[in-house]
Amino acid sequence: MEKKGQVTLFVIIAMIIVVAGALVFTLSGTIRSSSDIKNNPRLFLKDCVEDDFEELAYGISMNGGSIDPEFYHDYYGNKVEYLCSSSEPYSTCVVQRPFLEAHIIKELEKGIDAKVKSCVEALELNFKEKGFQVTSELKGHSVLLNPNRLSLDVDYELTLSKTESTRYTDFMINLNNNLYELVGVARSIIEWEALWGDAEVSEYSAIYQHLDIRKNRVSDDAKVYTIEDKKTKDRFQFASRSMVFPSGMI
Amino acid sequence: MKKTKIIMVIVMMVALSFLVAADDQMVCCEKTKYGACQNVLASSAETECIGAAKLTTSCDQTSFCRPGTCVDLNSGVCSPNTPERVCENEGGTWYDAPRDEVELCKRGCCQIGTSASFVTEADCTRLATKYKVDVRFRKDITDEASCTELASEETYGACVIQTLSRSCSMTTKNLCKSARGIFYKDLLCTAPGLSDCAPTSNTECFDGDVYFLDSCNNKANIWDPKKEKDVNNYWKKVQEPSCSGPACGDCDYASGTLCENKNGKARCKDLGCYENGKKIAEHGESWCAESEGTAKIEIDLMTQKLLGKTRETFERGFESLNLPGSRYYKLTCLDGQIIQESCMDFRNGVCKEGKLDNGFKHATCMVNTWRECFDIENKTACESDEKDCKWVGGEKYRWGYTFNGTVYPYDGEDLEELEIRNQKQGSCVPLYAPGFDFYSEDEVQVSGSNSVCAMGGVQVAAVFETDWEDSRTKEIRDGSTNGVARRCFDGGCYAIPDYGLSSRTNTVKGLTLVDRAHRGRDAGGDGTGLNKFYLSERRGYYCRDATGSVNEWYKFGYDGEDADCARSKSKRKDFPLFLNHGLWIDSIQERARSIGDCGYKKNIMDVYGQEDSETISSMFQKLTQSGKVDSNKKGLETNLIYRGNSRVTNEGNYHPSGIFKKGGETNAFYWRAYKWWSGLHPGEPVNLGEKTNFK
Repeated sequence: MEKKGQVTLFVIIAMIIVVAGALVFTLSGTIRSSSDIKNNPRLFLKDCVEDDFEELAYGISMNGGSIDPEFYHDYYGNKVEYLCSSSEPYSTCVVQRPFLEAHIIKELEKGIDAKVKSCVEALELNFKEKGFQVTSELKGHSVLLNPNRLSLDVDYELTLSKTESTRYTDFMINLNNNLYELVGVARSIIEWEALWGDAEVSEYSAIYQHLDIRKNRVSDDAKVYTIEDKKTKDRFQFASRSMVFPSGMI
Repeated sequence: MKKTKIIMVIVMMVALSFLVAADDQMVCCEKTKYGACQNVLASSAETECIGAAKLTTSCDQTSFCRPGTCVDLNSGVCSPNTPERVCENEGGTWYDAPRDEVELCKRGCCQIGTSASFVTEADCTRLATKYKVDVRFRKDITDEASCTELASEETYGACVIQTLSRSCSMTTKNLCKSARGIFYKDLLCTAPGLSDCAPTSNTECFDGDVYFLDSCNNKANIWDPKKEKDVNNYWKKVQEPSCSGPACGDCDYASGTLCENKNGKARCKDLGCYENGKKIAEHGESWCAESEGTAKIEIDLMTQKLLGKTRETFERGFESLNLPGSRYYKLTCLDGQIIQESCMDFRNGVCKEGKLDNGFKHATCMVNTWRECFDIENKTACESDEKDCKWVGGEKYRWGYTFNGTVYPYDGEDLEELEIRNQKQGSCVPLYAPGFDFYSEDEVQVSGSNSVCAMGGVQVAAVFETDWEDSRTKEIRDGSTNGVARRCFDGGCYAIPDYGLSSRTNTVKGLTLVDRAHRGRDAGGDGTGLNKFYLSERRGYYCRDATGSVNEWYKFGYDGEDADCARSKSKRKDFPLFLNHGLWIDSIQERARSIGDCGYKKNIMDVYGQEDSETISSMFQKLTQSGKVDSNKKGLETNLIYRGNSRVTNEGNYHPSGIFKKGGETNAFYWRAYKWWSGLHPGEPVNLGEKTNFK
């Protein structure tokens, strides 16, 4: 009986040790990670900007490439921009955003500007509070649309001095985002719409097998095209109004 | 007592309005809610243009909104059909030429590493600079599909990096070079003596296919269980697959298989679509949905010709198909999912479906070219395979066309060519009746719909010439015009032989009467003279001066709805289209309901519209002796005869008019019956003006 009780006790103690060990390991990881961010300027900036940048990219993708488009179709709460449109019946649309990639880059740069500035301020304050002398220059930032990657390159020079000085440059925030390819396909669909009127999505589906490309006819004789990466679920959508056939003879 | 030789003449005329707003001028708006530099109809410019900036000309005539090619000289990106102002606002350079004519915009295939893009040469160079890689621009590739096929054509093989162990990876020559490895073209890492990597039975998905993995997790050749142990060959060199079927990793997306990793095993997955475990479509197949108020349009995919009974189904289905509210849909099976695509609303688009030789179905939403039908002048062209139209024989030669004052240009003529009558006496209407936005708040849309329905209206004028002895009060016995209208409608008139008889089968009797009358005999066979009949200018509808009795004509093949005496050249006068009122009304009804959401028609919910959308009324006008409409100050009198699909039984709907009680100036008056099919709005009668050459 005694022996049995001892065994039970050992088992309980062992379990406590295992659980405690796991907790210490997990927490130390968190603490270490949080500490790394606070002590590493690059990680600090990345952590501060990344979520907003991702959210901004998502919003722009759902809006057809603009933060707040002027000409849009309201599609499930999104202001989906007309990238090609015609108000005239029986005619092909005229392109509204001739350089879509460049426009999206501008929108991303504009949309993240305030956040970059506030994050840089927060970063510098963080290190000042830690007793560092901070010398810095924020020259600007640029967005790069690359295959499978969306990058924010913050042109920022930071020097932290205490006992010794460390200079930091190359503040780059990368997102796994295939917007580059989605926008390329969108551009091709827009050209089809502008030249012939009504793009045949099955042709695109056959070429871009990893993308789910759909055409949704909505009210106002408009179409909303959605292009989604089957694997990553990255999505870009835009509206077009081309070769409109009204009801009756107009 | 002397009587006039002919006591009544009925002149039938057709008048219609061809109200198409196609001539509406275009206005160029700087902005509309859809975008910048937009052409809109002048009639809707006030509501559609945003801001004051608009020019009373179309955008392509302006110096700032005309479309052309917009080029970004830095990147080489070219955008076709772009307004000048939009281009300049975006920092581009605008060319007044189509894209293909702008040298900078000629596209080719830009190969960057293992990927390829269909871009301009400048764009390709920009990519090379941007990614600091070598690119190859192929001008000879002129389409996007061929370009994407060129991706991954780079030299591929094993890359061995000499460290303590000989690590190996499968990659391209360039990447191997940049990793400072030794590249072995077309060899696998498992090639004997190359590295420590060994064959395994593990599999993984790469680019949609199933591949063997070696012990270093490198991609080997396509999974082929039969070659799993072939160490000296299949595990040595990069090889094209030679297997097929389910035990093969050579998946083919186009054929409907794609690699899927399930429970650690990669295999080709069937992408077909299933319902209750039964395969209903292959991946990539598309077909037309069976939606309310539509039917399958089956075509030959090569020739686009309608197949089987498709044409017949739609020709006859004007009351059951293309109903208000119906729409065509295309369904596609993709990656095991059925995706729905709506064709253009208001049946401006229809779904057409065909099959390849192997039974693979392919459907497309195509433009319903119904508008073209109204411009077609003859039956053969109308029913050609290239047109979505059908021919309705009967009222009106084309739409509102008149010949020498009459809308029946061949009436009264001896026509040697029967085909001319067959070819031209009728209307070309849509095979797939379009829908209309008649409930829209947009007046332009409503007017566009009404104008089409108005085309289905028919006005027929008939002149009654009365016995000089008879007063019109006698003709209009009780002072009601209803009686005259109904009598002519129910029987007695024979503008078309037996036209006035309600029975469709009692045509022989009608023809007998006509025949006798024309030979100057007692037409009725009971002492009734010709003067008891209402004759028509459309006398050509029967075989005048034909010898023999109607019964003999019957032998030529007359079958009750086809007075075939005209088949004999010597006896032919003209070809009859209708033998009674019923057929005439059927024809007008078919034509009206075929041109769109017009008339008394049920919708897809099986609910009929308002009966007033289809009415027949008569109207009386006093004429002068010369047949012109008199400036009678007493006005018009109308009586409703038909509403919806039935006769109006209330006889009290008339207003006795003084004009019929006056004696004097003339013995003639017009009788006009018109049908108006334009939804809720009965049409205004058209003043016929000049009378035709009745005698």
